[in-house]
Amino acid sequence: MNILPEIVAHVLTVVCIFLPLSAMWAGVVNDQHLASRRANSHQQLLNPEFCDASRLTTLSSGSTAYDKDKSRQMSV
Amino acid sequence: MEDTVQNVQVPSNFDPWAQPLNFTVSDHNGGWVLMQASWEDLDAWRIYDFRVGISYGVGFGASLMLLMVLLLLTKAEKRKSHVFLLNAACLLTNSIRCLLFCTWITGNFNNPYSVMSQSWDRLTRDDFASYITINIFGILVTALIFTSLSLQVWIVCVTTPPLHRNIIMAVTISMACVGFGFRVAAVYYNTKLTLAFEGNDSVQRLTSTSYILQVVAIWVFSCVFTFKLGYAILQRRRLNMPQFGPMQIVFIMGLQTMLVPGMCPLSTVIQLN
Repeated sequence: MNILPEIVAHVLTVVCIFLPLSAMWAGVVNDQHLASRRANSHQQLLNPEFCDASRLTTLSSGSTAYDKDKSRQMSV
Repeated sequence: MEDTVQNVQVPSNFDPWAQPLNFTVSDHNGGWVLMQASWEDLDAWRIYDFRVGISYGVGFGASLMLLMVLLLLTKAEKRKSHVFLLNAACLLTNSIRCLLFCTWITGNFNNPYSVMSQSWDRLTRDDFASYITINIFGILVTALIFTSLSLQVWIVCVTTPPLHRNIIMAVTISMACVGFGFRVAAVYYNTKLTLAFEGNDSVQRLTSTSYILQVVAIWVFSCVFTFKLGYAILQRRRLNMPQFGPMQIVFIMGLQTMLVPGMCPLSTVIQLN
């Protein structure tokens, strides 16, 4: 028990911190504009919860043919 | 002052860092007895205490910061969603729990003399009240976490067929209930024994099991989120939709599928077994 015995007590804190992040991923309902291979494309994954979807102008390469008004709302 | 300094004879293998530490304790019959501990015991207590104190301080700060970020950056129309409310409640209760634990570190429960001599006469009603409050907040945070995770799984499963959805929900919710039930039992017996001034060795096994089940429940939820990622990748390939970039996959796997909370207690779970 020498290696960080208190880490067990930290499961709750770590889970709490990761809850909003997983809520974002859970809320992504098959969004076609989300997939992108740009260098900072992972930041788009923060958008469903935190940012205004209408500000999203960066679409993935070749995906402009898809419906741009696809709703990004969480379903609950 | 010079004549008060005494020369002492020490054995040849004397280790000053491990020398005995003598102190006087009451024998609870009006008399006093000499008790011996070691400086190493005191050092072990100090290291454990500082580690726990630092960790809970960090936990308090991180929870509070993320709560601020969540409150400030969430869009107004999403502030009424259940997931947002549950996550904000989780972070708030967890920061209160961490803060209460910091007060436990500085409180009478952790007085060096009390800990070394195991005499708990100086404990006041306030100390017990704050101890029970910490435990209640721990249960509250656990309940909120499992509720939020179950709700997130429900959101994930909105588009799946009803049969699959029911099976997934049944498995995850029953796992969460088992983990939560064991946690409540462990906290109940721990509190009961502490209030009776008894050691909690008899429920050590129950406590370990409750931690393990809690982690297993988080793994089950993590599996659902990871499965959603795999399913999304496969579906995009089948429908010829633009694929996720490698950075996005790493990001989702690392941060948004509860993989880190499932992995970080792994070493301890292995040790507990």
